[in-house]
Amino acid sequence: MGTRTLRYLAEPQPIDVETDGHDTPVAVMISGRRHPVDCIREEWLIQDQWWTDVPVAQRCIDLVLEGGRQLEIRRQRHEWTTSKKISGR
Amino acid sequence: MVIAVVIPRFPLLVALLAAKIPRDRPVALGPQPGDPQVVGLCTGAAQKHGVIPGIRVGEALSRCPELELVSPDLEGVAKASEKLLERLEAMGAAVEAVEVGVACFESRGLERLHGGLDRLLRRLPSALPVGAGGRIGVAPSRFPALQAGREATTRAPLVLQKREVGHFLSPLPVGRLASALGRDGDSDAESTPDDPLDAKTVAMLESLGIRTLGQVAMLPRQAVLDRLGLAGVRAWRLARGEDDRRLRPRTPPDPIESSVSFPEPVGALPALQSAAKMLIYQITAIANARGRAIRRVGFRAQLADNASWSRSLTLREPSTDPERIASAALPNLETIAAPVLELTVRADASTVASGRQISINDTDPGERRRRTGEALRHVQAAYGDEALLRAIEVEPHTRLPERRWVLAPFDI
Repeated sequence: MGTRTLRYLAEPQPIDVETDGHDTPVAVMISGRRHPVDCIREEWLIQDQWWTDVPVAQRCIDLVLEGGRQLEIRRQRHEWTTSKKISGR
Repeated sequence: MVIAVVIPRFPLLVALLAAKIPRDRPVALGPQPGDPQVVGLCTGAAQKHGVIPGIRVGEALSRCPELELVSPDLEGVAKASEKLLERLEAMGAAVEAVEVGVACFESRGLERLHGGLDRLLRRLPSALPVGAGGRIGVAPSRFPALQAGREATTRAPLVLQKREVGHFLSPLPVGRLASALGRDGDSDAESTPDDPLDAKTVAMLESLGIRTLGQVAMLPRQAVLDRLGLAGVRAWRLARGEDDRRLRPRTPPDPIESSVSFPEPVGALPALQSAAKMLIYQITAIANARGRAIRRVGFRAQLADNASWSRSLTLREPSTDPERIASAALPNLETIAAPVLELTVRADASTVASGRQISINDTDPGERRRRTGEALRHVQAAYGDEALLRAIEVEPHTRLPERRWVLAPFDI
């Protein structure tokens, strides 16, 4: 039997996010389609693992897309991710 | 009464017969290709030189330089074992196959058929292989009957009445509880679901000075329950001769066999898989034509180095779908360690295809665990280790949701 490794259950997936001049999301791309952001419900900051070589400093945004779909996205450095499995509708 | 038939060292006898070697020579079963280099069952002459099952080949040869090693003939053992069961069934017995060379059955119906227990026991040796040293034990229940079969001589059956069971079992070694057959000294022996204790527990009992079944029977039931749990209580009851487990007679198989011989030994796995798939299609077509479904599939291969290889698997549900059987069975071919001369697929098609019913009675937890484990093994065999994963909560209080749970390999 070869080496078997653990992996996280909900690995963050990269997501394309379109922002305005203030770095606020205005649309996200899901399955190649542009979904405009209707409103931002909440925004917060996670700072963790600061005692390690790879500290986590994430800006989290809970937003609602046009059509009512809710999505939580996060930004670390210049990369946007989401923990949710995303697919088009 | 339960009658047990025990043929000691059955796989060794089959191998000796195939190799045409007399039983009084120092001989032991050698390791199979790819297995650890230890010897298996050995003859009495080899044991006199200090060779015991489980020691390394080099050590066995240094203890007994004239020791001959023979290859285990798995195919021959399976055939001989099946033949033994068929002959017992031909006498009218509903036989439970305990393991190769060991079987037991209820005498109740047969006594009337054969004119009493004595007549039945006189006829029984004629169903056993000639010169194999078959022993017969008779007792009111299964465990004492199996022990009586092991302790009996080849000359006469050992018949135990109910009042004699406790006295008979008392001096037997406690290792008999780790294996209903008491395969003492056989380190390769694995305990079966019927064996109440595992080898580690038996070793623990022995280290506490409890070496015989009589000493186990003398222990207070509550103490056994506290220390060893329900399995311990079952062992305690067996040691007292109380075995209420009913026999589980097998359904006589309806075998379908198909084989292919190669003009030259074949070692390439894709070629073997193609051949096996073709054979699976053939046997499922035969089963379909008979209106039967396949429950067990066995593969046997005659290898180029005169050894043989075999694997069998039991499907969770009887099936006639060749793709389903192939997906469960083909990964087994990876364990063939030498080029193959002949490949045989043998299936038991004793299940009626349309007659599969669920059971009204709730099965016991052990049986459910066994079946679940079997199903999971099938999934792993078909789709690989990654098909089954266990979610484990590792950092429940982290603020990063993705770090709370990990997926770990699921070991059955």
